[in-house]
Amino acid sequence: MNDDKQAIGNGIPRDPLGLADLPHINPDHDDWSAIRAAIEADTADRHGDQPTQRPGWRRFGGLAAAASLVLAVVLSLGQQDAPGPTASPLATPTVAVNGDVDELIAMSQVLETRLRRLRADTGALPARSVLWVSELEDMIARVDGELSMAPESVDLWGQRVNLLLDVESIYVHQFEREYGRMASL
Amino acid sequence: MTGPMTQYELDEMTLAAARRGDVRACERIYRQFHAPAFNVAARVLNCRETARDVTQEAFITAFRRIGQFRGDAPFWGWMKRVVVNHAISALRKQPSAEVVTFEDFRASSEGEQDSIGRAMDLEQALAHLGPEDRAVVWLYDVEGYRHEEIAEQFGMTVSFSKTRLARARKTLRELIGRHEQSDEMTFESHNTGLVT
Repeated sequence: MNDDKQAIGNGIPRDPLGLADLPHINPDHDDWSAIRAAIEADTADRHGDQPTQRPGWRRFGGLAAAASLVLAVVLSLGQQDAPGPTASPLATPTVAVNGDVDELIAMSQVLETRLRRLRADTGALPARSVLWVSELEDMIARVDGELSMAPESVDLWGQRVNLLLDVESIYVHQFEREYGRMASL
Repeated sequence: MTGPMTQYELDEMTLAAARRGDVRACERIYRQFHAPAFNVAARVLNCRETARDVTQEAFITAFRRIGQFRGDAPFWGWMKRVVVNHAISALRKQPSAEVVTFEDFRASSEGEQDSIGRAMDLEQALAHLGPEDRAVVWLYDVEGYRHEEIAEQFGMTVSFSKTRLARARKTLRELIGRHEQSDEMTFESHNTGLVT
């Protein structure tokens, strides 16, 4: 951003009408308590306190029976570890929602684990990617809310897995960009 | 950027603590940047309620991602980008918005009170702009964004930003001119009435 009001940006003078002199619009509210609650919920989630937010996990938590499908996902995710032009937000793998719920839950668990690792390994995301990730996470939270009402819904678990794949794709893309930048040094 | 720079500087201790997940540090950041963040959102959106929601979402996003803030640029610049991202996203979802009224503005000094008469015209004109025109002119003229940055925020071309800026300024000038002309006409007719 450019704070100079005089034409440094694109040769167009800044603020000829004096908009910056308009008074500030001050908030008449304090939403800190809601923000704090969101931060604390995140912290609880990071410490593995998922059942309080995702009742579906409690019911299906011990599922490890979806070996074939999980293996396929792990293998495909493993291939994306290699830096190269393989992952792109436009080429996010998707899951056809026709498996059984156990398979989808197991896939969701695998993706959650992988995302935790990617978040730790990936550097700062660009602001736009932060927004995308945030929106996707909001959507996942909404699906989780619906799953608490219908924990056996194949459709909802499918949506959750696909949203996680979208988030994962953004992180992988950024990871590869950073890897490429480091490699070029 | 509006306001004195010192108001927008974040000390490293608070930033480091917030990165570690210290909730009290996050609260200090919220207290320091809530008002300027809300101001940007309200100016872009022209709606207090949506601006409130956007500001809240932006702080939650910022605290979730604060570990990814590199620290090689001012924190407020990064925070403002998060606010503007959310605001533009909200702008697209909710094009019709409650208009911010003149009574929303709080004059903090006598000098500010003196300038209110002139400011009100510009304020009203700004409120009459279309959502995207208002956002572009505010981001360019007040927040110091470059056209490339505005284009990126909107997911559009640089031409989009330049065109909207030109159109917004033209409309503002016309609206202000119209108000001034209207005032003059009222004044003249009033005087005429007195004479006759």
